[in-house]
Amino acid sequence: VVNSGATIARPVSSNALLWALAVVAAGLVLSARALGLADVAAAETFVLIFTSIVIEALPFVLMGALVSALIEVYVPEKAFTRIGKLPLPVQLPAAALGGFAFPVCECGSVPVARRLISRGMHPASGLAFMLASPILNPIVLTSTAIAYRGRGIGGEMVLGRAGLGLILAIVAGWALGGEGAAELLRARPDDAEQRDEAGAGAGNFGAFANHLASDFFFMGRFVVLGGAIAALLQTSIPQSLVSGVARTPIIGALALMGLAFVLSLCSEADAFVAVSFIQFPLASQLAFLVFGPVVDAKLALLYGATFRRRFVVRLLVVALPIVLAGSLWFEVALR
Amino acid sequence: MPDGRAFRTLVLLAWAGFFAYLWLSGEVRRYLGPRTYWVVPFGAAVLLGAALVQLVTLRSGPSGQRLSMKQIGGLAVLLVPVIAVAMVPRAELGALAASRKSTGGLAPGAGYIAPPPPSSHAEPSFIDIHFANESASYGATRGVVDGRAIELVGFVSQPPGSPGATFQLTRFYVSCCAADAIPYSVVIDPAEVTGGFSTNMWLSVSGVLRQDGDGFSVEARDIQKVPEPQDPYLY
Repeated sequence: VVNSGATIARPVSSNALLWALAVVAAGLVLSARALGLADVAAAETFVLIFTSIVIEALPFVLMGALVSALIEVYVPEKAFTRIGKLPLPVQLPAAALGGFAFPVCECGSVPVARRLISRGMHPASGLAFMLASPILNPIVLTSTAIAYRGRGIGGEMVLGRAGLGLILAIVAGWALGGEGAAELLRARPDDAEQRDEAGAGAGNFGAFANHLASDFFFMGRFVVLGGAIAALLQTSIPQSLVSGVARTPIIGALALMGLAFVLSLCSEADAFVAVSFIQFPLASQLAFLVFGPVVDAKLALLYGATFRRRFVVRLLVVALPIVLAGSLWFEVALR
Repeated sequence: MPDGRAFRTLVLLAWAGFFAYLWLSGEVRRYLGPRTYWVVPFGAAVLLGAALVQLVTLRSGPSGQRLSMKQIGGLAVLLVPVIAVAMVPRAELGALAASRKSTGGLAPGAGYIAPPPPSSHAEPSFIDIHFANESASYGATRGVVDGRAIELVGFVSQPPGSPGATFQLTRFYVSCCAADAIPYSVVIDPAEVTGGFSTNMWLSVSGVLRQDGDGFSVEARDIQKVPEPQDPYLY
């Protein structure tokens, strides 16, 4: 029996568990095939959307884990000490603008932000970077321009998205990152194991591989769970439900923000979906484009596992009014 | 006895193998759009590399901690998508997905500007007919005009209510992955063509475009049942 502090972890024979899991998986596959699950439309839709979200998102998680492991192993401590000494009014916007240089969508930015904060960056700056990079990164802005170019407002939508995203990231980072890293970050059970294994003589490359795998596994499971929730919602809730409120600017924007949460789209693709909501005013479409990369079903799980103290609820309280007001102002300014 | 790293190595190998299968079998087209195909070989290569490094440390490094049930559950979650694909292989987005993903038939909102037609000389397809219903100039530029001969391949999303009645033929347009698929539908009038057209059946419809107060539809001259295309989406 391994005694780990106050809790007692029950060790299990790995061989026995692996066999048990293999048998369960084989049983599930055989039962599904025998019952003809592949012919059930809802099952097909769910599995296809679920797996496509995970297949697309996991490599980005992997990319985020790669950067995170590089930061942990190869960036010297003094670099973070130097950054940590910068005044917050400089750190915060600089970190948010750093999103321009990090072409990874939201799933990849969470592990990087966690690592930056744990290594000494001010939590507000780490959060600002995390919230800005899925909106400001060059691939996202280019796809937004391409999607809206056809409507003759590619430049305006890019400016609106980048501007509102930057404001949201800075304000939310400042509002939610006022506490210390220890109060903000949730301790991960595998942190101690990582340190043990990294320091066990495997060298820098071994430590890098350990951190990479550890971040991938930790974040990956929440992408899987979030993808399942998003797929379930996409399979069960008709999108036409929100079309009924399309004409009302405020309710339309709220409806598309809700839809962005449900759909959990990659920020590199969401502009192509937003542009199809032709019944909605541009304010609502912009709200969809700024809100979705910051809070959605799969991110809610990732945030919950990474941060403490009802982070998602507090982020919602900050993000909703900013996105709503900003998108409505954008519509007025565009006219 | 294998430790936690052995299980982690297995999960990494399972995902690397899954990505390799998607890439080599062409099944990647079922899940992703061309813009994101690259994530599959990237994922396969990096995960395989990570698995090999784990294998090396497994052989040469000190033994790691044994896993608790909770840790094993966390790792097993990552295998769920792979198992789901084995349970429901070759899944398709069909009529149910089209009904869920359709945003309804409301008219465009105030200030809406139809996109300028693409410079492509390709034959008009579902998306062109959709936009031609919103903009006459778009339709004229893309050749979506009354009387034009057209051929469409899609699946039946709304079957005819009675023999000879109209039905809807649909195709999904995908940007990054199936989660962002958008359905575009065209009304098909089978006219003299007879046959049972059931939900999710893939059809090749040849006919001419007809325009009335409800927009463009296709008056069919010939309708053939066809297998699902290797690439089920349009881009």
